[in-house]
This record gives sequence, structure tokens and C-alpha cells, in this order.
Amino acid sequence: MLQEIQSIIEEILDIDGNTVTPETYVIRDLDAESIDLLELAVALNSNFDVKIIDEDIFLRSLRIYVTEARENGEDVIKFLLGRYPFITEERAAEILDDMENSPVLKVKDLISYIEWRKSF
Amino acid sequence: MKPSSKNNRILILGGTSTLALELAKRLLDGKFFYPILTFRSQSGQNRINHTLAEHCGKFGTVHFDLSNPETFNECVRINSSYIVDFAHSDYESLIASSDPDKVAEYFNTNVSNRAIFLREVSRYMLLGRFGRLVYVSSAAAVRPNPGQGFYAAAKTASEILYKSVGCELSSKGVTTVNVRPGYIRAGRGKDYLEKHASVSTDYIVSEKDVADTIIFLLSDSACRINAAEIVMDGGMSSLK
Repeated sequence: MLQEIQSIIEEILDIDGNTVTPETYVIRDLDAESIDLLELAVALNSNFDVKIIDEDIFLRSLRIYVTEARENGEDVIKFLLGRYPFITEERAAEILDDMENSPVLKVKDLISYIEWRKSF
Repeated sequence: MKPSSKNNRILILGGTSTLALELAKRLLDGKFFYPILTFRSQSGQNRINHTLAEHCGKFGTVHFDLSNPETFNECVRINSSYIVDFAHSDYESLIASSDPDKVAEYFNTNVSNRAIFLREVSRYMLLGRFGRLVYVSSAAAVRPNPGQGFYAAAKTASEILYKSVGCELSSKGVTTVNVRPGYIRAGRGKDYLEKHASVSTDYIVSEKDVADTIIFLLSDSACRINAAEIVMDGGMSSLK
């Protein structure tokens, strides 16, 4: 799957796909803009034949969810797992640690989302 | 006009209207495009087949109802590179005497559902990195006569949806243009003109004028006309 995603990113962002790893930040490292993310969502939908909710796969409401969980005194990691069932507890913790340097979206999040969608 | 895309399919929404059928005829005469016209009912499909009978086998039809998003999928999957949108349901009323339920339904159909359709179809066009969409609005969108308030509001909102797609996706090859015909001696315009004989013929647009303008706007020569409005009213709306 990584290879296919590398190829999609290469086409959309005009970069060498081989430099893309699961740890690559989609926005922070690759400078993907909103129009690129839209094209990425469409290509992932087409290539993997899974439904893509742009809002979820790109973690767009992450900050809102974190704020909401904190304001309600809830466990933030559990709250995030409820909203983003495709990420692991470990990844949720990693995201929380990394949020000051946002955006936190990584290629591995895209992979997790597609694998999760395929499991239906 | 030859299609610049390898895909020569043109989806014509609201395909049973007089203007849509005139456009289809002229496209078929040009021989480069394969128009696919939408219909809402069997009688609509019959009307298309009857009007275009001499071009049998050279055009298609597909069921589409703007009030029912479940019918959108089939149209989207046609994967046409060109779309001309004539679809619009009718509701004329003075604002103060309107039926609130009908108003809500009207905007849901003509604005919200159109946005949903545009979302789906523009995503498909992104994949092919080409798309040209022409929205057929009306000069009334910005200068409504009494009773046309909801019509104008829905047309203006729809124009903005198309305009936004053109602004957002032009870098990926998807462009849009809105056409605002003025008085046309067809459809709703025909009834109006019969009641208002005072409208100068200088300001009346023919079906052929509209069809030819749309064909030009679909051409490569017009590709830089993006996210724009073209007014076709003989200059009437520019007068004091």
C-alpha cells in the first residue's frame, strides 16, 4: 500500500515518491495544500475503492476534538479514538505530544485509514 | 468545436427543456460530442427521443432528479468531462405570500442538492484533471421581477457554487462559467413575453443564440473564461 500511496503523492505533488515514508508529515514535510489534499482524497478513493471522508482522514477537526475533550474533563486519548477509530492508542498519544508542531498528519495515518476502511 | 478531452461525453442536466434540446441538436450536428440528456419522467425521456429522433444512437439519456440525490450516482458515473446544467424546478411567488414548506423544499432541491451533485462530479473530474461546467442561470438572478425572488435567490446561490468550483479547481483543469440569458421565447420566458408585449425584440434572445454561446463556452478557445458570468440580454440590464 505504501508504494501505491508514494506513487499517488508523486503524481499530485510532483516529488520523488521514494522519499515518502510512513513517518513523513503530509503537510509539514510535503507542503501539501488543501487542493492537493482534495486530489489525494479523490485518488485514494479511486485507487483503493474505499469511501474517504476528507474531514476524518486528514484529521481536520483534531484540535476541536482535543479542546472539546479537555473542556468536558474527558480522557483525550479515548476521546480521539472514538472520533478517529482508525488510529491506535499509541498513535493518539504521539499526536498529542506532537500537536505544538502541527499539522501532525503523517502518511501512516492515511495507510491506517485505508486499512480500517477496507476492514468493513 | 472538437472536444479537447478524449472523453467526448457532455452531460446535459435538465435535458428535457427546450434550450437543452436545442443545444443537443446543435452538438449532434457538429458530430464531435456525445450528449447525454437527463430526464425525470418517462414522458421526458420520450420527449428527448422524439425531438432527437434523426440522431438515434448518437446520444444518451439518463434518469436524474435534482430533488432526489439518490439519482445522482448514475450521472456522476457517466464520468463526462463536460456538463451543462439547465436543471431548475419552478416556484414563483411573492416572498410575503409564499408557503414556508415549499420555500424550504425549493432551496433544498435547487441549492443544497446542486451542491451535493457538484461535490461528487467535480471529484470525478479531478481524477481526469479536466472538466468544463456551464451553469445556465438567468438575467433574473440579479434583477428579479416580482414573484421571482426565490428563483433569483436559488439561481444566484447556484452561480456562486459553480463559480467557487472554478476558483478552487482551475489549477487542476476544472473550470466553470455561468450564463445568464435574458428574455427567451421558450419555457417560462415564452409565457412572460406573451403577457408583456412591450419587451423590445432587441432584448429577446433566441434558443439558437443560447445554444451557440454555450458551445463556444465549451470550446478550448473559451477555457480562460472561468468562474465568470456571461450576460445575454442584448444589453438590457446595462440600461438605466
